[in-house]
Amino acid sequence: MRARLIILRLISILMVAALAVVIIIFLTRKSGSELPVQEVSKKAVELFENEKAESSPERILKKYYGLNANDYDGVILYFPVSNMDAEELLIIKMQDESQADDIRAAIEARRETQNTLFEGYAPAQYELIQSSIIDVQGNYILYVVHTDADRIDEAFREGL
Amino acid sequence: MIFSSIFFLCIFLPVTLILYYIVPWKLKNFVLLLCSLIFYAWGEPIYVLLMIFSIVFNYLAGLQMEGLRQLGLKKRRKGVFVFTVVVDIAILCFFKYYGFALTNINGLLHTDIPIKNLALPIGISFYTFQILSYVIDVYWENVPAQHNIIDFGAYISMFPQLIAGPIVRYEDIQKQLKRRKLSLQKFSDGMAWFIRGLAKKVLLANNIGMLFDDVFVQSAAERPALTTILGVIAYTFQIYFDFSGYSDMAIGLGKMMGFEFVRNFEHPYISTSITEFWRRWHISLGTWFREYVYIPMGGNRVSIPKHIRNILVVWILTGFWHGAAWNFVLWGLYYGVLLLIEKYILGRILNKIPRVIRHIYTIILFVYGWLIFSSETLKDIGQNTASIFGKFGQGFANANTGYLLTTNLVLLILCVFCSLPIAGKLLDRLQGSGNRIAHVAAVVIYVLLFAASFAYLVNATYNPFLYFKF
Repeated sequence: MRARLIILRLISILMVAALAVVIIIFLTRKSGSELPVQEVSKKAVELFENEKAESSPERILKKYYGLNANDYDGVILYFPVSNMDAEELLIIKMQDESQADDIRAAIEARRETQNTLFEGYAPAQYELIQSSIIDVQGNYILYVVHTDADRIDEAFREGL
Repeated sequence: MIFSSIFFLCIFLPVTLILYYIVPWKLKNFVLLLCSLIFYAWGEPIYVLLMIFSIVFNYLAGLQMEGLRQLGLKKRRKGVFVFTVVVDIAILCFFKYYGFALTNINGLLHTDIPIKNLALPIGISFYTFQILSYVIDVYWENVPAQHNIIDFGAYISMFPQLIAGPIVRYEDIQKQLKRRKLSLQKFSDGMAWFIRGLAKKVLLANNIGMLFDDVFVQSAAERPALTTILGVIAYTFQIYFDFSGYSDMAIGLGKMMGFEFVRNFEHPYISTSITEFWRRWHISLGTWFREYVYIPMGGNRVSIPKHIRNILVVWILTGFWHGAAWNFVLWGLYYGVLLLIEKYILGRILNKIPRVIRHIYTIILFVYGWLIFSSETLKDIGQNTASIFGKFGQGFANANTGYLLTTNLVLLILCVFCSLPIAGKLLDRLQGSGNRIAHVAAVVIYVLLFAASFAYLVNATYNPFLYFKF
């Protein structure tokens, strides 16, 4: 009985130690990338290649997402020039991973607005928004609305 | 995976029920455990490992405490108990409060400790409290330790109440894990509970939630008083139908599989005091704190200062349990203070005043409570309160208020009606009467409610679950 209890105790302690190690590794692991946003986004931007999309981070980021570009280490934003287009690419390098929740909420709000806008009269654009991707990778976050959203997300991850 | 999703309703639930019913009794808990882990892993592929860790770790703790009791080693037994509780609470605190703690430390000490983005394991607050109820009850010798890890795993991970309660105490369910009754009557009762819950969630909570969003998308400074009040009333109904709807669905699913879970809501909005409100709202959480925190601290059988301390500790913890933010702490404290005021000052006066006045008093207080709860920061609470008192010069109402009120009037009336006991009683009377026509009418109502909810789910994109984040 005593020996069995000692074994059970040992297993419990080893389990807690293993969990502690996993958590420490998670906390000390470098995630995301220290590379500048232009470098990380290079391949993703090439795949996005949309002549109808315009790049202008600061003003549009504030207007469409309610976010201030100065709060982050870097922003890449391609947004549709025409109201009839939905393709959009946003990549943000955060100063701190704790900014992710607010950025994600802003992106989801933007996506909801676009959903409402296109639902009912522009099925192709609506489908694109439905299959859009939000991807948080450490200190980087990506939002893409595109026919090749999966490939762009893949390229973004490779760029990190 | 959530109950109000097409995948759950069309695939997961039917497959699980078929498997559950065709396997022999010996394997039913295994099927339940397996399906529950799949259910959890669907949204939390990594965190299912954390759940398996908790199951094994606490299962071993129960066996150790029992063995040490048989050997009469009290001190070592206490050591195992304390170690287990500390590990369980540490896991909960780490995953739930890590970001909150570091943000506050950085703010207070002007440090720059980097904060990792850590997703909250869904339902961790609920299942950790279930685990603690087991560990504490075994330590107190209220129940024997569970020797079957499948039964124990099924209790912790049981998918009906895994992610948003009710918090089922081990003491209340241990016998059912071994023996429970399955019958056609129980299954149909379970379906009725499930459909009621689904309709509450999908048809009422989701729709009234849109009114709340419409109001709070404007800043407090732009809103006239009545618009803010309308928004908070919308939230009051949204959170009730969302959470009680989920609890009803959980109770219904439990019944379909032979379990009887405790009721989690008893029409809280008909209360005539805050004390009564908390006897009717989230009953399983209130019971947990009463049994495992309040009574062990001495409850009300202590001096007045100690009783005040006990109440405030329990209610600050209740607030903090709901989320890692100061508004939840303030919300808990708000109710602690109100309960103390009712206990020591208002109690006798309240009993003497007309019921309708007591009811209005309670409504005002719990609606304001939801304003605190729904505001994301302490600053927001201040601004929303200021908006109600017209501090931003927007007056009492404007054209938009009228528009919001008129377009949502029918829905608001429906919400009031469905939060009263009469709605449920009418359905119960139809269901329970021996009259064949009345019974058919009840079945038709349930079919219509299900069809309407299903149709809504197919079309709608807005389907949040408020209590998942707790």
